[in-house]
Order: sequence, then C-alpha cells, then structure tokens
Amino acid sequence: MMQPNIQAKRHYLTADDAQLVEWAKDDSSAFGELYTRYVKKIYNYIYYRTGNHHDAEDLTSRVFFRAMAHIKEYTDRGVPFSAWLYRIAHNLVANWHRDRGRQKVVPLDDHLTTAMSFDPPEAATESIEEEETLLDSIRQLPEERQQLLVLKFVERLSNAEIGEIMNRTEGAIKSLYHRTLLSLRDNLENPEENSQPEPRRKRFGL
Amino acid sequence: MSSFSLSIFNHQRERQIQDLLMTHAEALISGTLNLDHLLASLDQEARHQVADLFSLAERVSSALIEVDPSEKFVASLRQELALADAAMLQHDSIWQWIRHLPPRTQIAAGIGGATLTAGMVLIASRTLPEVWSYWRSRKIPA
Repeated sequence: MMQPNIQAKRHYLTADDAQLVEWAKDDSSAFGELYTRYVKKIYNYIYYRTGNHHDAEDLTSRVFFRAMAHIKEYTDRGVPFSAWLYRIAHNLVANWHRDRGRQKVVPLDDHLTTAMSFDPPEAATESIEEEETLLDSIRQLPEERQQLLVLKFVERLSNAEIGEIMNRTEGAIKSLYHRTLLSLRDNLENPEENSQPEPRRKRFGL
Repeated sequence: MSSFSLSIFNHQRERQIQDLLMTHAEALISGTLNLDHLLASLDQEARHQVADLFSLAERVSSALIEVDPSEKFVASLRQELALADAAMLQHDSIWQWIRHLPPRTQIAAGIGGATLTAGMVLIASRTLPEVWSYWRSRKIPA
C-alpha cells in the first residue's frame, strides 16, 4: 500500500503519462489522474464506434477496469499508454459488435440536434438529413476506415499517434485516409450500390 | 512518355495528393484552413482531383464532433475504480503476507488445505442414499 508521505511528494498533475503509469502500479491516485486525462477521449471513441451513450458508458467502464487490472503488466515498449488504452477499447468494441452479430442502428439524434440547433428550421432539417446520410455512409465503411476517421476528427490525434494505435506507419495512415475519402465519396454517390453490406466487410456502428 | 515513367509520375502524384489531403485534415482540425495556399502547389488536374475530397473532408469534420460523457457517469466510474483498486490492493497484501510466512508454516497450510479440499470432494461425491444407508447401518439393532 502506498504511504501517504510518498503520495504527498508526487506531482500528479504535471507528471507525464509514463511516470503516472509507473506510479499507478501501486498508487491509486496516479491511476485516478490517468483516468481524468483519458476518460473523455475513450468515451468519445467508443461512442462513435457503438453509436449510443448507454453502450459507450458500459464499454468505457470495462476499458478502465481492464486497464487497472493489467497496469502492473504494462511495460513501455515505445507504445504510449494512450495507444494501449485505445487498443483495449478497440478490442472491446470489436467483441461487442461480434457478440451482437448485427449492425447497430445509430440514433445520434441528440448529437445531430445539438449540432444544428442554431440553424433556421428548414435549413436545419436539410442539414440534419445530409449529416444523417453522411454518417450512414461512414457506417458502410470497413472497421479500420471508421476507426481512422474517429481518431482523426473526433480525437484529433496526430498521424504518428494514430499509427501507434493502428499499428501502421504514418505513410500508411495517409494512404488509408485517401482511400477512405474515395470510398466514402463512392458510397455517397452510389447509395443503392453500397447500401447492401458486403459479406466479407466488417460493419461497425459508428 | 514510357509506361515506366508514367507509373512513377502517377505514384508521385498520388503521394502528393495523399500529403495534401492530410495537410488539409490537420488544418481543419486546428482551424487554420487556407485553401488557396494548399491548392497553389497543384496543377489543374490535381486540383480537380482533390477539390471534392476537400469538400467531403470538411463535411466529415463537421459531422464528427466531440461529445461529453455525463458528469454523473464520470464521477460514479471514478468511485467504482477507487473501490476496486482498494480491494485489489487488499487482495495483493494478503498474498504478500502469505508469501512472507516461514516455509514450514506454508507447507503445513498447504497440507491442511489439500486435506480439507479432499474431504469436501469425498463428501460431495457420495450420493444422498449412500449417506442414508451408511447411517442406517450404524444403528445398533434393539
């Protein structure tokens, strides 16, 4: 058990992730600081991959419980703690989709309503419809392309960080982004052709 | 132009477009988008190729906005984690205590535990009628 006088000497707020992870192996306050730093990010990632707040809360809890249970085994091999957390989240989301065995229909109503609440009513309706179509097309994309879009635009991560999470080089991330936009454009231009799920393609909720 | 040079040219063009699309995405995220500046380095054909992808990326960027988890959820999960962590530390400290016992005590505890487990298994494996007939056979006839 961590002695209070040692805890008092530690500056949790200014410590970097690697230091906090070392402390967190026997200090719950250090894990608490890591939780504060990443809970919103992990929640966002899972929310856009599952499509609803209820499952996002459930899976976010599981990510942090799993991280806490295994933090003693974590060794820094050049992969940052954040990438480790995202990988746990990614695995749990993949299991969640596999267990359900079906495409989750994503409401995202509150998200869209909030985003459009300042537009005039007609323009807002049109914009909501356009956004729903766009989100629906993103849902047609394979898992890794959805993951890339969420990490880039929601989490606002650098290519290097995304590369660490997805286990790819920065060049591969750029190429994947290009192909993602091209296939998304195809989905939007030919909605009928792309509305049926491809058998070998993993479909995720986004 | 030979087919080899054309292939190299296309590959370079593709790399250039990939770099540009990513620069555009970074600018969207940081709010420092300057389209004219981005397009300046491109020829007419390349501009045509990226123009609609730029527009699509802008739509994606506006659709995928950050959401906030409820404060109640964040606070409650923090509390649950703290409780679970305390329980884990207690569990760890019991194992730590056992591991620091003298070897003889550990061996004695191991033998005692194994005997107890074997006894429980033996009792559990016997069916109820067997136990009943055993007890009946123990009764001394009048």
